[in-house]
Amino acid sequence: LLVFDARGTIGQGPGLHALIAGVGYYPYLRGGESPRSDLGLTQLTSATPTALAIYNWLVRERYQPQVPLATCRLLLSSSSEPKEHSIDLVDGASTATLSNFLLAAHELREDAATHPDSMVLVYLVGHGAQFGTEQIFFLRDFGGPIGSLLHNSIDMASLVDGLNADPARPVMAQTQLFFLDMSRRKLRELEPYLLSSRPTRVFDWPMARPEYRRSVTVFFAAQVEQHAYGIPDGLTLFGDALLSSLSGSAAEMLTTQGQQQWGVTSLSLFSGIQHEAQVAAERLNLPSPLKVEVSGTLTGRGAPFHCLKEPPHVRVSITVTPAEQNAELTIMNAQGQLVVTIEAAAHNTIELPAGIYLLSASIEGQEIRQIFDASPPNSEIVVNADVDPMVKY
Amino acid sequence: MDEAEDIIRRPGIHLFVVGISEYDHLPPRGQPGTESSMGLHRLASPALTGYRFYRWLVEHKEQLVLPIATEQLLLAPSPQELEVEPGLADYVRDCSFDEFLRTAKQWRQEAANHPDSIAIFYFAGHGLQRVRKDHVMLMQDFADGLGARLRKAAETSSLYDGMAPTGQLPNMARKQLYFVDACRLPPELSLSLELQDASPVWDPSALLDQEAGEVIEDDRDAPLFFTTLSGAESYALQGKPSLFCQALIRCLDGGTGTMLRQGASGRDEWVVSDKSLSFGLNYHLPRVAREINRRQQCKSQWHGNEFALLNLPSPPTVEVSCEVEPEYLAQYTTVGIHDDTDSMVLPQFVVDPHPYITTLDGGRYMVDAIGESGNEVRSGSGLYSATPPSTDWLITLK
Repeated sequence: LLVFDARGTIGQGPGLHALIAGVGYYPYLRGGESPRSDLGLTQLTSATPTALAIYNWLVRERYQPQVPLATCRLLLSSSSEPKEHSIDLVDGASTATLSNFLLAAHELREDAATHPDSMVLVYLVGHGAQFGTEQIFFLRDFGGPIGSLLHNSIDMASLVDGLNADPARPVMAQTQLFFLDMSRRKLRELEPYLLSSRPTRVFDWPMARPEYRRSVTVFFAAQVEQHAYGIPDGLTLFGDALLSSLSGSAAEMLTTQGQQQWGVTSLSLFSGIQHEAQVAAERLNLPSPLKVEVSGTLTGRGAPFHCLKEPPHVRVSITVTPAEQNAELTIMNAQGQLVVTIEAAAHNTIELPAGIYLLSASIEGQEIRQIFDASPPNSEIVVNADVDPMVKY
Repeated sequence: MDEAEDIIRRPGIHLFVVGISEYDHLPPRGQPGTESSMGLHRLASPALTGYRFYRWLVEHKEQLVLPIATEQLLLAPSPQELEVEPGLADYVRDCSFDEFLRTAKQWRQEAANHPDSIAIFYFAGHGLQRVRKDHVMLMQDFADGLGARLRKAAETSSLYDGMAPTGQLPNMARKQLYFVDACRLPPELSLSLELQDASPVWDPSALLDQEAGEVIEDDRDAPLFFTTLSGAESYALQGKPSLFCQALIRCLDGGTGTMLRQGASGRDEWVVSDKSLSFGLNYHLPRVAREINRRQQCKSQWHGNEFALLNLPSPPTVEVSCEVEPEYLAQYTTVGIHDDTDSMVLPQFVVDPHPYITTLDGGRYMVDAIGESGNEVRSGSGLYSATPPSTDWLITLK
């Protein structure tokens, strides 16, 4: 199950514990080896590539942690390699069956219960559905001949709730991020089983328990009754949007231990994913705008999660009023260094590293200076020579 | 089309505010309860809370991004609240479960007048967050001893789900805001209630669009704010609005904001959006609670995009924490803050205590700092943003 393990080097300190599951191959659904259940669900070609992309991002040094990566567990079921179940794709990865998932979740909880400053990241991609009021996730063996219909599916709420602290585990990672990259449609074919079949609970937990503080954020790839989308043999839109967001479009200035740095928080991720998903939906001409849903306990400006090595690039749109031929815009950074000089048109678009800048211009005889923020993902500036007489700087 | 009809067809804000203090079947505080009262007592804050929230919106209607089109108020104040706020007397209404259902239905119809409308729901009163099942809101005739315990309790998720657009209500307001400002139920009762069903607000089959024959996707931008964490306390002082409401009004009064567009100094366009409300509530609520030695933190759920609720006439107030690097020079460092017209926005100050906390208008500033200690003189300057509700500045001296 473990594809990354740095517990030995981290010792007693906090770490990030990740669980990634990508289920693209379902042997008992249409297109599989032994199709038995026809719920209108077919094989998925974007689930495994997405899970691998998230794994690569996390493990292969792109993650700039708030806390070091301690463990990563990876479960895969690939549509392209049914016989090998894709476990050879990454050393140590396991097949995304129910029993492996339960084991991985159990181990994740034990690791997360060692330090309150640890973090948990769970990314699940594959088929999902709303069943009554529950969101369920279908594992590889869903629809198989053993057990009830929903035996090989899991109840998402039980996973999220079960990773809270309880009297048996008074210490628990207080920052937890869940990415549920799956459809949230209600399947009419499952309605007859509402009373008889239950998804598997990942954990039990005491019903009346004292409050433990944790910052838990659950990102759904779709709203209730909506589909999640993926590019055939490519990434899911949600996964792609998440990776783009982590690369910078969700960044904001963080101050940690006196140091200021561009980084991503649970709340800034929401805006970033939403933005990127909508850009992708427009590009792909999807029938309706893609809407990510987020729930959870958001504290402050969100839990810091990932730092960037450099400021992300921001598209800055500068509108100059009145537009004047031969006007020149000079932009300096916060340290007073010249960044760029441009011939100004009425509308100008430039790309700048995120940060704060001083813009100088001479328009219709007025010397204009204006401080502006270049904040991800886009910034819009209005330089208006009509209203602001310049005072020296 | 007459003017009134015209107004109702235009996008507007549709309010539904419920504040229940005077529960018919709960004992006053300090008196023993009944079998069905489950340890709960009457309250002396929710009706005032709902009223103050409503009045704030009415009194600041010029700032709202849309006019208030319709208002539904269900307020059941305690004698103490009526004493504090006599104006409440004009708004006293039956807040029974049936009346709640009738009003919710009316509000739903009104909010379905235009997709660009905004629907706002605020509930203050007793509530319960069950561990696995949904949050429920207890109505005025709760604990009447008839039927199941939660018969007069409305499922919050049912109300929310029923406000989605349907084939019959395709013009439902796509921007919606929900505030559930509810006291907790004693934890020892949570287990017994976990297994009980509360009452849905709508018939679930009405939401399936079977009659209309088409499915409309739920494309609302509709965050929910719960005023406390699951299982945690939600506080109010008797005869005063809840702490959550106080924090919310601080936010609306400019304690938070999102910059829409950057103009020259003083000409930025600021709004209070649902997202900036979340930032602001997470900042102000713990502080309001700390003023009475309590801890309270809100929980929010997010659906859809950020949207603006009101325009701010001036930049929001930002708490700025100034730190100096190297730290040992902090108490010998003088800082000057200017806007981009070179006007000094604050008198120069020494960074003592360190970090030095001050307040500024949201915006961007030029900062000059000089640190002098003995023969050591260092200086620093740079551009900084003051982003609501609070910002940390690190001034590096070289």
